[in-house]
Amino acid sequence: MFKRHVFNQLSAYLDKQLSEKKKEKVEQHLQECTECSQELARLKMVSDKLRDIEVPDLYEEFDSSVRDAILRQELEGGRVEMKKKPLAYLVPAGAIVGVLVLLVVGVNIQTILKRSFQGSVRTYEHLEQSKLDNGLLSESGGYGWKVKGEPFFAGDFQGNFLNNYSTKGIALAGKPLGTLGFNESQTAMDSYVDRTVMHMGGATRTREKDMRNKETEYTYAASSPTMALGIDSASNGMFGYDDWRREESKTLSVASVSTDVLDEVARERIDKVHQVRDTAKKLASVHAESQSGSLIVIQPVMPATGEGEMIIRTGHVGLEVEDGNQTYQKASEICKELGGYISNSSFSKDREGREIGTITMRIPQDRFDTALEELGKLGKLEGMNTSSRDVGQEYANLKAQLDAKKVIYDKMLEALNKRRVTIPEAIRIESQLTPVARGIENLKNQIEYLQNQVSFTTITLNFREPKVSPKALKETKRIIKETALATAINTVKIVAAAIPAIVIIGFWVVAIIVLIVAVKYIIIRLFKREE
Amino acid sequence: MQHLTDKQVMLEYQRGEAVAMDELLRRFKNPVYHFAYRLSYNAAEAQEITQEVFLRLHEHRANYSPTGKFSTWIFTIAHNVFVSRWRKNRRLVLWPRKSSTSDEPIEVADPDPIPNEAAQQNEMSQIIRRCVQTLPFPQKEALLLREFGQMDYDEIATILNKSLGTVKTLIHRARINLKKKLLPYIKELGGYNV
Repeated sequence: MFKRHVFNQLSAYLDKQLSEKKKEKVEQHLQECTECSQELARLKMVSDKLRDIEVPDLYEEFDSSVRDAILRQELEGGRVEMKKKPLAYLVPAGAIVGVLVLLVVGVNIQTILKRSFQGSVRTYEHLEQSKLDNGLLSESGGYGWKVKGEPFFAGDFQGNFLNNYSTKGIALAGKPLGTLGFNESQTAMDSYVDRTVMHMGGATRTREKDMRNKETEYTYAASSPTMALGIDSASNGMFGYDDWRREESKTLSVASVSTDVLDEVARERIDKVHQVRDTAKKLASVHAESQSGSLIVIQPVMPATGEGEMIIRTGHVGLEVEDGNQTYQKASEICKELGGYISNSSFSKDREGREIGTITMRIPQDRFDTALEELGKLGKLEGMNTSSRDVGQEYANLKAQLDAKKVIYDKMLEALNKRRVTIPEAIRIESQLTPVARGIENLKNQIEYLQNQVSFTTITLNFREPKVSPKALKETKRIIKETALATAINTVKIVAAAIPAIVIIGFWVVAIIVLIVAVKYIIIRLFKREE
Repeated sequence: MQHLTDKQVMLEYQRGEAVAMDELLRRFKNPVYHFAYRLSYNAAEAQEITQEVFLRLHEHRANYSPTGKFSTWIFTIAHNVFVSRWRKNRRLVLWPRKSSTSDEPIEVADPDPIPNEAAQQNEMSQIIRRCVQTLPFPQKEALLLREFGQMDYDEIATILNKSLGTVKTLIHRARINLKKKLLPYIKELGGYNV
């Protein structure tokens, strides 16, 4: 008869831990089932073997050591209760906090980051904008720059600072750092069809026609400190950039503002010249009227200077100076004080950054010597020479010729008016009259030129900075300083930009570590429970 | 004091009779020590554990109430000491490389072809020791309490803080496991190695 094996009960049976009823059942089964009997025998064998293991004896002083330990414990006032491992609380708590922070901050941090990035972008845009506002953008990729509130500097990417004339700039690693510029008008006019250039006491006025036959008038200061400012704007137009051709008003507004005052001075001076000329004209006409009918050669009228002598004087001064710009300004001041004006000037820098300048000024005749003396004081005098040319005879001749021609002219005119002339006759007279009139105008011009040359002497001042210019050194230092500053600022900017990234990475790393530890802890817990 | 029962001695000690500790030591130091030794197979650790058990007994003497057997109480202390030490010393192991309940035969050096009696005896004891050590801790503890403490299942259940059924299963499984592990080494069990 088949009966269920009792393997599961055998161990308890062996240990006599079964109830009477179960024990009987097992015993009954064991009598019938050899398999279960064998299993029981084996289990018994295992138990027996287990008892074979020897245990080393406790050491003899064990009792006393326990008593000592108890005594020690009593004396110490009881042991501190064993605390639960702080990790047991910290890990799950940390995990929960971590997840919460993750949820709350994790969402917000994106916004924070976004905001900070927006900030930097805005700054950049602003910079870009200001560049456009101040800069003189041209076909060649011009650049405008404003440094510490000073007038903006201009240049292009190649480091050719806006023109080939007298504006020079400094470029470092393709980036313009600044430029100083002075410009004389004539050189800039070349690309125009027609032009007039007038010098009026420190201010230069130009009238010009461009290729489309459009006439524009410019006035800008040559000797005023606003020159540098004016140049940027003026040069933008002068050098014929497309940009300007479309918007001329842009150029004009800046230039005209800076020269209003100078215009005033120039106008006064021109008025005086006109007065003299008018007087001469009157005198000539009086003579002509009183001596009508005869050819009278009128004695030349004395020149407007009233000095009695017609001598053209020119002077040349060569100087070595510390600061070219300063010299330029000082020379301008001297010129103004003495009632003169600057007719021409150029100012440039050589490869080493030394400034070289030439100023041509017109000084009233009586102050020629004073001017030379004053200018010589501006720096280390390297050379000075003066020359003079007596044009008294020339002047007298011209005057005589003029008067003679005038008489002829008047006579011819009279004849044309008084007599009854036939048409062919009238045509003949007219045709003869025209060359005479032209001759008169020509003579007048020559006389005016001489008068001008005599009454205003010409002094050319050449100056240059010494080979090792303290200013050049200073400039170099400034550039290095600015570059270092820019680098430092950029570094700080980069670091500042990286901080949010570092923060977010750090945050995630910490969060992940917390999670790993928590998971580890939980797994260990599970393992332990299974055991 | 020798005529008193375990409970009475403990109550004496509870009242402040210092001599009672001597009696308790005399009666229980060896059972506790043997139990600890068989669990750890480390004499030094077993002695430390035994000392710790008696220290805790002193410490918690006021908490003793003579409801169950005294031996149950003292072995409960021993169990707790063991568990707390085990918790303290265990390492954080995420994924144990080998399951501790592996059925693979334990690697033992090849026995001498003609072993003398003592050597053979020693060899056997080594094998058994290793086999016992590979048992899961709760199984080992339950089995040892049964085999060496001669305790009833319900006593063991109290000590281990487990149900009677669990204890029964633990002991049974421990024996089966041990049998399987010892099988290759013991002639009487049909082994062939020895």
